[in-house]
Amino acid sequence: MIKKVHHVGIVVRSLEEGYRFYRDTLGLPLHKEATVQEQGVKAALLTLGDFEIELLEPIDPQGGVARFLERRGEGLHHICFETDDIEAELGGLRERGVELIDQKPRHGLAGLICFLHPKAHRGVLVELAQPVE
Amino acid sequence: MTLLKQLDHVVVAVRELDEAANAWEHNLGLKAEHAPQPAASGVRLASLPAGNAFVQLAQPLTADHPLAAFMDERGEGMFSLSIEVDDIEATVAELRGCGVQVSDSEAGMLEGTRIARISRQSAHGVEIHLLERR
Repeated sequence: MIKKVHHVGIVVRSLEEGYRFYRDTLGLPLHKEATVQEQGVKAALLTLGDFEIELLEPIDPQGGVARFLERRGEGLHHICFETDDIEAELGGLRERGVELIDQKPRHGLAGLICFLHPKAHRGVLVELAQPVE
Repeated sequence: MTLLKQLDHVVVAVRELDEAANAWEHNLGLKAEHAPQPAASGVRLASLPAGNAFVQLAQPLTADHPLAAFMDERGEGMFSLSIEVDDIEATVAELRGCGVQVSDSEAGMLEGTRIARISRQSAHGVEIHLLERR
């Protein structure tokens, strides 16, 4: 079951430039930053109330985020919903025939995560996350 | 600057509202609050509550609507983030003081709201709407 909107992902050319606006001008505190090799990004989460903004800087020119930046420029990339049982959620999605990118949860900046295919929501890339502390 | 309160909603531009609403409900269990209503401003809207915020599906009814122009360029997808503030005039003034391009505030699509738009150039390609609920 979906609990809340965990974050939206925004592709930026560089985290440093992104910080200048989202952290320094808007005043959103930086929660964490990490390199996620398998997604080809340096990523950061900034806090806005009980929601976060994720900035994504591509570091792998062959990766999906780099291709997104090249094709569409900086901007909104995905929306992530929080669940407390990502395995159950994925099982339900499979039963309902929803197109998935990830068949199994993997580790991302927001915890255990998986992506659904953007076709499933008419062009919106949806991520699910089960935070792990 | 600590004037931003929380995410209010995310606008998703769609060409066919009923199909889109069915997919979000079928896949994720996010159900529209009310039957979709045509709004005075030339869009049909469906609000899907998701805990702390809602997803707002928006189908433009005229070809010259900004959402239609957006989809002509980029296709269906996420259009904007609406972030709630306590005092929209103060927030606009403070952001302008930091060199951010922000529109004057105006009545929002949702009743009882005022919004102001931060320019996409300032926000790294993201359409951010500041929103005050009155």
